[in-house]
Amino acid sequence: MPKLEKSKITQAKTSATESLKNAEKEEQEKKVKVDEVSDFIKFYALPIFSAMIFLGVVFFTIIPSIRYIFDSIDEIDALKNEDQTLNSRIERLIALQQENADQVQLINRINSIVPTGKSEVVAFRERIATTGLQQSLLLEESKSGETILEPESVTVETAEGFNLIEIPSEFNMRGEFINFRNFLNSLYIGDDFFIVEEMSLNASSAEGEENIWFGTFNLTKYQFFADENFDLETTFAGVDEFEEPDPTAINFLETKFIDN
Amino acid sequence: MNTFSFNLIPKKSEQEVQKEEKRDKTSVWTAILPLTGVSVWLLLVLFNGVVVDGVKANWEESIAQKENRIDTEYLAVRVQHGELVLKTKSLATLITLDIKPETLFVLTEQIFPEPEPGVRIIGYGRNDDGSFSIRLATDDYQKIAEIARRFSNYEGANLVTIESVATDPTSEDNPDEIQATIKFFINVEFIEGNA
Repeated sequence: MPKLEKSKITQAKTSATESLKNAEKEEQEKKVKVDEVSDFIKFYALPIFSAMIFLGVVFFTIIPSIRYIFDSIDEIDALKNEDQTLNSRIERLIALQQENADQVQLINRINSIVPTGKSEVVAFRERIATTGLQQSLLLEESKSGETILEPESVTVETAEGFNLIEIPSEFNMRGEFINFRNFLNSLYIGDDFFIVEEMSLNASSAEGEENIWFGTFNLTKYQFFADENFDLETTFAGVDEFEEPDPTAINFLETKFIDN
Repeated sequence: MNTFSFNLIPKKSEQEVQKEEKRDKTSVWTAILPLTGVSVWLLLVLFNGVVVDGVKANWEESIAQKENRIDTEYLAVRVQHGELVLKTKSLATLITLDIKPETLFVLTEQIFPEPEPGVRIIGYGRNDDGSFSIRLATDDYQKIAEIARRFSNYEGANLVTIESVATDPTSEDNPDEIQATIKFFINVEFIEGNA
């Protein structure tokens, strides 16, 4: 065998032995690592378990409890605001209680000029006729009726189920001019609230009737009307205490019906 | 009887002993963690129960008391106030339509302080749009224009228009008589101030 070939065979043998050794070494190292991890887990099972319980306690009890505190603080803030609102309401109600006498007077006045409940058609017609008679006017004809005013149509603000009724009445009269004037004044200063919707006062053109005038008056009186199932107390109590009565109406009532 | 005491388990290496000591210490510390967590949780529960819920309950009780006071003690005041508010608001629109009829006669007297020669007032009117009117009878067209101008210049009357001018040639009494209707709106504040 030539010397060169012999040396090649020896070299190959050495190399094979080395690679075999390396493979064995790697396998051993791997085994050592697995053993180490296994030992580590066995060794630290209790600490790991404890840590997991701790995290469970933190996430499932401590954090919700802290969140509860913050939520409660928000709720307490809301309650504080609600309490302040109630305090202001009570202050306002105390102030309203002190104005009680004035309010009662105004309400009584409203209820007398614009009553709530039974129809006033006949009574109103009677009052007009009587006043006309007192002023020496002859009532030739009269017509009366009732119409419920729809809040949207006349911009009258009322609560649902609580309406304002219009009582239009037409009166045809004849008499002297001064008597018509006195008649209108008497009605106006009387205890009635009405609107002169239309009026026509014309001098007679007939011969011998120089002082005679003919008057046609469309007078409208108003009254409140509540539906059968309507609970007045609940509706009135539901009005915001801070809402002010209409100043125009108050001024009107005070100047026309109370101060006088 | 003789007893022998000896250990068959081989002695642990130094490294192994150190490792076990380390594990024991770690185990003790990590066992404290859940305990600490539970303690913190219990403290929080106690704090929530005593302090937070207590404060909340106080506010809720205070609110309930005040609401009850408003619903019972002040019910009459609320009903009265609500009635006044609703009724005055209902009447507000109507009140603006309320003009004393006497105002029309006062305005006429202010425009005609003395009887006007050749002019007769033969009618007064109020229309459903809130305007007022005066019907005049005269023989002179010029007079009607003059009176209409007087109304226009007068502050107590606004939006003055001559609504109609008519004659009745068939009239046996006065076929030359001209009848005119002057329409206007009344400035109530001005008239009442000058009445």
